[in-house]
Amino acid sequence: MTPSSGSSDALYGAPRPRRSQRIWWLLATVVVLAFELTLLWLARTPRVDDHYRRYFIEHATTCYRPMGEVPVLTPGERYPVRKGESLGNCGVLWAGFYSPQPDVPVSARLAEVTLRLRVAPEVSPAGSQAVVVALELSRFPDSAAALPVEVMIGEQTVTRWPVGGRYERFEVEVPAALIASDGSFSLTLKGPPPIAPRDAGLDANKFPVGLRLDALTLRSPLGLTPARAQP
Amino acid sequence: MNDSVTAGPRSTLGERFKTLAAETPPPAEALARAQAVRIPWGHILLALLVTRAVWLAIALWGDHSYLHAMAQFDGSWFKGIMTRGYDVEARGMSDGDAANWAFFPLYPALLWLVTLGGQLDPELMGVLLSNALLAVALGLGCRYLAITRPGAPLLLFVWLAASMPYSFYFSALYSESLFWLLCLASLIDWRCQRTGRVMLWTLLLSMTRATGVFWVIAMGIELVARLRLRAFAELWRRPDWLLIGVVGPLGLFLFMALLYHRTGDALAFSHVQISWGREMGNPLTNLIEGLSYWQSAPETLRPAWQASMALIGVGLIGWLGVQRRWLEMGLAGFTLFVPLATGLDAIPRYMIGMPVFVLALHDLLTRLPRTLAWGLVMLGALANLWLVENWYDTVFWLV
Repeated sequence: MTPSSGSSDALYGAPRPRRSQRIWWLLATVVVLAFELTLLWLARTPRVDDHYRRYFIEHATTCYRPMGEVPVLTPGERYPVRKGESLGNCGVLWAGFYSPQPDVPVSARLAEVTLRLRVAPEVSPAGSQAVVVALELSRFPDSAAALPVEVMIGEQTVTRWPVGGRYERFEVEVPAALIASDGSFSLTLKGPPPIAPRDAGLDANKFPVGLRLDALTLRSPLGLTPARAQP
Repeated sequence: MNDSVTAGPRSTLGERFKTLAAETPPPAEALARAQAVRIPWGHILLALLVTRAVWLAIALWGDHSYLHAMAQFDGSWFKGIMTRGYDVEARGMSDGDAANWAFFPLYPALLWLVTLGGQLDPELMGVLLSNALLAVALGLGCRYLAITRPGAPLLLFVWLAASMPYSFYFSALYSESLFWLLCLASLIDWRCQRTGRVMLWTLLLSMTRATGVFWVIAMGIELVARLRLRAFAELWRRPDWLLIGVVGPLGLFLFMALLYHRTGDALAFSHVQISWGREMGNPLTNLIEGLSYWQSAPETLRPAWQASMALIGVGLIGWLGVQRRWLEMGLAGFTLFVPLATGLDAIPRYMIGMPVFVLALHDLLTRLPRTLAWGLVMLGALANLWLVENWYDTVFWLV
């Protein structure tokens, strides 16, 4: 017998179910199918928290949840923002940043990324003094033209930076009112949409890259560290 | 004139392909062959004992714990499911983003049963369970060979499956041997048209591994390939086939219901794959990129080797297609290309975990002179010893 010849009876010669039984087979099929369709509908509407949705479903960030403590920053010290460094962990880079390797600056997969930062109590005792945050920042790819990046402290927009493909140092003053009593604040950057290296014609990498952050430094508004500014 | 020149080789090639086409017996004949075959149980046990004894000797020689090694990597996830069930939230591994949702429930459920609810040593019982499942699977494999490849050398199949490269997975606390058993059982009963049993086996298959879902799709491919458009009309007359189509993936849907209850996400088994770096992409791009490593960075062996294995898999799929073994071809195709879309990791394991790849390899070996075929099986067994040694050394690319 050739594989594609003959009737189905000849190929699959088992007795067909009787006509009277057929309705029960079909009914069972409908019941199972209804269950499966219900599950598919539930799969479309997961009951999960925001962390889960952003990480597992939307793949918006490589940090599932903030992990570990947000380190206290010392004024005047330059902090590389990389995997393995104190500012390269999921405690700080918890929204939108990608930190693949120890020797590579972190990059953003989203247009909007957030850093969670904390200053030493003596820098801003009970939120009474402003601090200046300096970021060494660029935009992917290296040839990118400078475009405005909105800088937000908490929910408030404080400035806009023209960020291009070359690393530059940008500074923003964080008003004392926006620093919490424990010295913590969040710094959000809203830039142009990220672009995948593949779409930029550079290599086969399909994951989008937006802003690239190399290092972060903190200082007082006077340009001096508080320790030196004190009488 | 030109037509006549080109028509000759074409028809010759077509005729050659026709001679390779396998005969598929009608169900009554398949049943008769299945009942008539004498399964070489003695050889199955001998092959398992000899190969496992050699692996054990390597472990003792290298001062490794055989049982502990067989329960590493995914085995530890299965043990975790057996003892504490499915995670409510992700917290595992260094980034705190891993959970045991990627591991399907049937194997850990069996592990729970054979350890009497966790009272017996899970590593010992798991190794015994996996090997017992493989012994039954090999028996079923012989039966399936007798149905679809009458006269095929059963002993060659038994020794090939028991000793080939990567066959140590069948001894580990992995679900490969269970998957083999269920897949071969469903293939046998499909050929014999015992559709009630097919429903049960395929349901269990989709509770064992995600690739179990592809069985019913492959069944659809066979029906369309053999009946053409009549297949759709036939579904109305054969509602039992229709029911197989929805009961086959039911195991997965039941697992999804469990995950929805535990985590709130019915697709958690798929979403959690990101913790292992797996994201959906283009399988051909992944394959070509992996192969390009041979040229661009030959020192980076892992992706190049895995892509090469995938390429062998593509060849075996084509070989099954040439033989018009549509169901087997469909199963092999989905088992290779869907994981390949998410990356090259564990591709050899996906291939070895699907018995139709080994059947295709066996088909090729049976076309060689007997001595050469057995020589190649021996060579494969020796290559596997090197892999076993690496497995004991917890080499990560064998996960």
